[in-house]
Amino acid sequence: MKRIYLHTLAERIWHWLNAALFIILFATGIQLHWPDRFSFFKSFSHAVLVHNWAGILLVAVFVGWLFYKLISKRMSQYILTKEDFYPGMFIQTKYYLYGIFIDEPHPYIPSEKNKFNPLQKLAYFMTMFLQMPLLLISGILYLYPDCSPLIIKIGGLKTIAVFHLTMAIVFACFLVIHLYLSTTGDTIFSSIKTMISGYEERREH
Amino acid sequence: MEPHEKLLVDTDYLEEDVHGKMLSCTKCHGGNPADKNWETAHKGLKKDPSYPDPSKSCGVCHEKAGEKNSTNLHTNLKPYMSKMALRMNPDKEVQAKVLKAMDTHCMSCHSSCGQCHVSRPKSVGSGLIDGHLFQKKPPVETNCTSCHGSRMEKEFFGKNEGVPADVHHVKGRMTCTDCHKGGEMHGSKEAPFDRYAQTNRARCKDCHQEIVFSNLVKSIKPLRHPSHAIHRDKVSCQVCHSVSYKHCYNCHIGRDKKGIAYFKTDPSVMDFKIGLNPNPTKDRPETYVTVRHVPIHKGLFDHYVKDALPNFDKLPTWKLATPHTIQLKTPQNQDCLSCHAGTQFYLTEGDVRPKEKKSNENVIVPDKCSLNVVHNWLPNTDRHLKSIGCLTCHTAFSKRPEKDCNQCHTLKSILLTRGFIIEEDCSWKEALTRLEFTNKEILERRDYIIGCNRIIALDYIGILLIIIIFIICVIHGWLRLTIVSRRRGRAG
Repeated sequence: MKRIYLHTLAERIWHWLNAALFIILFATGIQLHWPDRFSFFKSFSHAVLVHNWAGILLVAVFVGWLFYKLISKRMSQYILTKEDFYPGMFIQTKYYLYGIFIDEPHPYIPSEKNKFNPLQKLAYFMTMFLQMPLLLISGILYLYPDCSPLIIKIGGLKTIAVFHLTMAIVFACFLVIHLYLSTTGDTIFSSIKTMISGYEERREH
Repeated sequence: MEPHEKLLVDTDYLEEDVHGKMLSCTKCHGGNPADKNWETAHKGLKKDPSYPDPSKSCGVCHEKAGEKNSTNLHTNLKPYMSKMALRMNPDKEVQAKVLKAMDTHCMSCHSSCGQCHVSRPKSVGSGLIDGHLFQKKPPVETNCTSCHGSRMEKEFFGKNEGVPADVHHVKGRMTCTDCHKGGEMHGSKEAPFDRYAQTNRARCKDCHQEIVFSNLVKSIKPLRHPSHAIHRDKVSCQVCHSVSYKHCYNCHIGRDKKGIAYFKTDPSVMDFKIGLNPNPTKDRPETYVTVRHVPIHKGLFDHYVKDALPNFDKLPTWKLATPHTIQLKTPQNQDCLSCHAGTQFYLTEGDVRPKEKKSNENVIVPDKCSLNVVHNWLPNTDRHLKSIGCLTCHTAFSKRPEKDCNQCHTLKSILLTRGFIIEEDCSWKEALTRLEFTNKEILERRDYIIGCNRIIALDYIGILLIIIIFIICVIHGWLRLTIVSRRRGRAG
């Protein structure tokens, strides 16, 4: 078995903090969206309060993550190279659609400096640099609609609300895929263990 | 009125007036027409046969009015006396001096059958109204306003500078007797402690009523604005519909060096003040009423006797009032916030003179909590208050709105049925259920936004997408585990 140090302590803390906040935000968001059907929290107003604070914390966590990545120079892990687009993505897609069923080894071996495969890079890049900012900005505008005349220009609170909801749906889809793909390591729970310990244990072929 | 007009009996009285035709002068006024000596002939003559007891004059024919003479407030001023008695020193000697002073200065201000229907009241100089012809309705100018002049006349007819005349006068050309009918003028069976407690007094609702179709008759002016139902029994009509009226201060009475009785007051003040109703009753249950400062002063009788009113604080100096400056639109009824977000219309502690604070403690309106404090149960209080109209929650049917967010934040939101019209052909329900993304117009109007619940299609698309991805993952995982385990089995 080979042990590779993939995730630093800061990254792991960020990941699990992010996960916890997303669970809270999903739960409260569902209650806010269908208050007549779901009541995970004591009341609607409690759900609003928790959702608002969790959202603000998520902004803080995201900003912290951004600083950390910039300072630690680990941002390059998210940058797609030419090779990542082709043949990288093709090889990785083929693996998920075929290779994984015939127990082929993972086409990309992660390292501390380059820990994501091309598809992961694409997904995480989109998530962290497009979807997450859009989700957070729409949330902030939804929370403080008076702070910007932008809201009127783009069609009002309802547009913001619908956009925020759309981003929430995208993140929900991401979460399902993310959770499933976390089971595609050497064993079902190996990726989760890696995310806890920071080390990936990989069979040597 | 010319001097001769005050005295001369018109011949029309004898020819046209039923009293003149049926009754001789002596029947009512007494005297002896057979006596040729004018001095003895006029012995026992009654200038006003109806005062103080009309039972042997007017009351002979007008039994009902005559019977109520003892309780008639125009005759006996009982509320005035009973209130002074509450403040008065219990010492008999002092009381005697106070009553004597009141006899001189206060009790002359009364009327009688004759002093309304035949002549002007004695307190304003007497004089026949129209050659002794009986007036069924006493004329406003010569009679009603000769006593009720400084306040009511000036208020009702708009004679106070800068204050418009009462709408009933301007629009309806109404006069005193249109509201204050004979029944009220002649009193009720029992003498009330307070004139507002008189059972047959004029009431706004005699003409203005909320719309209840079962009792809606043509003469009723229906109150269509929802504010009436919301504020029913909470504020008096005048709180919303009257404007500035007169307040008097510091009445002092006495006699000058020549022994002539006089009174003096501070200059009156025009103001509008809402106070607490110190004595809510079934008949007048409102919490807030308009209040007027009356000219009472603790040293009112000082010229005659010291410490006449040691219990001065037993009654407020700011007294329930029904100003006659009624307007449809007033500064305080422009919008809800006029009253609910400020104190300018209320009688606050700062409006009351330091020495009168104790007596008015039941009338002074406590400092109003700001809207934000009252509504602090709402998350994002400021934004809720900015975007929701008051009437969204405080409807005629929900006097105390439930503090339940789900009322609005749900698909079955109450906002959908509150009937707010955004455009002439578009109701809230239609506007909020439209499958459209923009709500610019609604936001600009600062009306309420429910949220993203309106695009139901997006809900379905989102849920479907998540389910499809989940199913794909399950199938992928199942295939992976099955195939891999088989292959490993074969290999192993």
